[in-house]
Amino acid sequence: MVEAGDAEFSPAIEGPSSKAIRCVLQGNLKVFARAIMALAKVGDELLLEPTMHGLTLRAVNLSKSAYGCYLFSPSFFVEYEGGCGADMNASTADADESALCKISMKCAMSVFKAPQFMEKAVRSCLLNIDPSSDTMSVEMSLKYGVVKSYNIPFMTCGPGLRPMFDKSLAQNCIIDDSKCVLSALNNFGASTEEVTIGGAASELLIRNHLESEPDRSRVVKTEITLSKQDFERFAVSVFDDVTLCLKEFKAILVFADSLSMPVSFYFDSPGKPFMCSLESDMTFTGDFVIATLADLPGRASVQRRVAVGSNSQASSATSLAGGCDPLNSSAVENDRASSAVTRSIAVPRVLRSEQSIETLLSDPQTVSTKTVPETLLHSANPPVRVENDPPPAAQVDSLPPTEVDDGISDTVAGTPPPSPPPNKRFRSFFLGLSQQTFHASQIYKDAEVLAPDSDPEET
Amino acid sequence: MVLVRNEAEDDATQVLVLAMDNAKEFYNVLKTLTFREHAEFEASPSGVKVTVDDMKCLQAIAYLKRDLFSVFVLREETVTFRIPLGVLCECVNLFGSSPNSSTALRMTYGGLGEPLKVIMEEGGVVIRCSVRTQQSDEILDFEFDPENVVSKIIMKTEALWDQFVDLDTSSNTLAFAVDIKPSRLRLSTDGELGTIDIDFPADSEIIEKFETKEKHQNKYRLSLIRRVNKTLHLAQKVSIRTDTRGILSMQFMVEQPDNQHIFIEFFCVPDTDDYDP
Repeated sequence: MVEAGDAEFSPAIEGPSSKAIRCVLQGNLKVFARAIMALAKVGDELLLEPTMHGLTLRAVNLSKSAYGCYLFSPSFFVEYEGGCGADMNASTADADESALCKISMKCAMSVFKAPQFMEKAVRSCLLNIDPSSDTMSVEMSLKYGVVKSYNIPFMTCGPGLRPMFDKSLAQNCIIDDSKCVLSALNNFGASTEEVTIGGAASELLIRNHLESEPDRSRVVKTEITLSKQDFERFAVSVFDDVTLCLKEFKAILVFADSLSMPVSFYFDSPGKPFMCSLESDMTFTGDFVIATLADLPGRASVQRRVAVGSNSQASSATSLAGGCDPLNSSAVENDRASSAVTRSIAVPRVLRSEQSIETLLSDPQTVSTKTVPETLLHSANPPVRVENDPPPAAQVDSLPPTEVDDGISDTVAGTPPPSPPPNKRFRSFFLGLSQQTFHASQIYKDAEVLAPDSDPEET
Repeated sequence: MVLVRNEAEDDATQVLVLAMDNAKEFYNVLKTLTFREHAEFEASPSGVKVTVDDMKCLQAIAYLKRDLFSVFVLREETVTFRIPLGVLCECVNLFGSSPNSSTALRMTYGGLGEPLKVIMEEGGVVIRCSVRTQQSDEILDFEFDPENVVSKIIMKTEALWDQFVDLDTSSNTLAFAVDIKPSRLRLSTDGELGTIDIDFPADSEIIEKFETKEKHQNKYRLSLIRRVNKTLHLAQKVSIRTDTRGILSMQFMVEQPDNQHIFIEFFCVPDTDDYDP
């Protein structure tokens, strides 16, 4: 069943290598299938890592701003044998040592489709994964003795990607039985791409994020407040808003909901990753790490409190005053936020300091440029909350690009107004580095400079 | 049934008169064959045959025995014509298909060049249709000889439903392999999703009969084989036979109320596109 590696070059040994695993799924097959469905919302390729400690499934999206990982321990399976003891946390650049293999998500989905169907029709499922082989095999025993075998080809797999995230560093932790947040998210329109989540002392605010909308006055603004009592655990100490992509966030909630599992959210300030974890089951764990929109310098404190003065887009949104009281004060928070922001500014010189550092949450084309010059920021008077000019929900964060660009086109690195695609694409190549989720080994420290930067404006 | 009596006087001129009490089964059978525009309609003393040919590589024939019709009048030895099947199907289904109602159907044909007149009645409402016919084309005879059969497998279609729908469409061919050790029927595809094999062991409860003279494998073009999907869902049993030339015959049995059966048979030639140097 398991194909040996290239027989001409290796000693004539038939049979799987020491890295291979053989495992059987029965009752948990639908959980496995649902996990793959959730990962399919993240990326197009499924990375598998079989070790003696269990089978890990991972997916990363193209812009590296979302990452999903499931670790199935041997007890998740009816049978589990084999696997080498690869160190799960090391990022191995040496392909020979690692047990990583990759298949296309399309293949994975076609094998593990329709979890409800699988539950009824599939008696058991045998997986044979040998990273040193060309294919992996999945054998499903169906009704009536019918056996369906899939031989899925592996794709070439580069060195492993290990995001460095530590849940214990997150300041906020909320545990939800998933129904609460998921049902809240179902209230958002189908076209909502990003949501902003704001933790307060006794509640959680979720609203749709409108930065990427071309015509903000026409978009329905939705805001939902969830009270502390709805959650199993609610420990929020950093009262900041974080904005993240809805698709990946919802993927893990849907997964958890299908199994009635609680989800733990670990988050912090803008720019820091938002982590969703499934920790309640003994046999497997799931972690989704989603990058959040990083803040503009000095503007962090403006969130949810200030109506940016020159914002002429009046709207009929209701005032956020009601839920915001506890956040109004403390300079402590400002410092936190701005320090978090300054950390995230320490990035390759290619980015200008006035420009915001954004996380690419979805398609680069949809991310708008938030170019806020220093001058306008100073006039905004940070910690003061202007009640008489209630900001439209989620609009406080920035000025409309058009207004900005008209006034200060000379300070912006020669890009055409308002949200120039070339600039976004430019960022998409470099912004990944601004995320704290990246391991230092990802940056090309010793790259050879073949052509020095000829642009005199660049520092 | 009022309408039958009223039409009686026209009958003498018609070379073919058919009537059915419930058009639904007729419609269901014809619907599975609408993958091509035209069908050959042939009426003979034993019943009606509707044949659809697909590029001379696949042929589907529905056999409707004489007993299925409440009225079967044939004034010539055989009557054949070519008819747009999709159009006929639409006519027969004009009353829709609600489970409780029953639509009475009557078809008359006046001879070469005449249209096929279809009259439907349900709940007192009468619909009359006239479908243009053409001269019948020669039907290719696949010459499938039961004496030259290498393997014969009779099984319930239920097990095949899900598998056929899920077949990897990126694969050009579907291979039918009948093995002796182990005794099984194996369907295989090879496409973007990798190689997929579906094994039906001979001792499975869904296989009623498993006979083979030798081990063999033939490949058929998947796009052609998929034509059987609708029939697969309508029928309860299928008999899969392969002859010495590799031609596949799939005979589907559709059960009718009152113990009648309608048979739909598919012939498919093997795919010989792989050039083995």
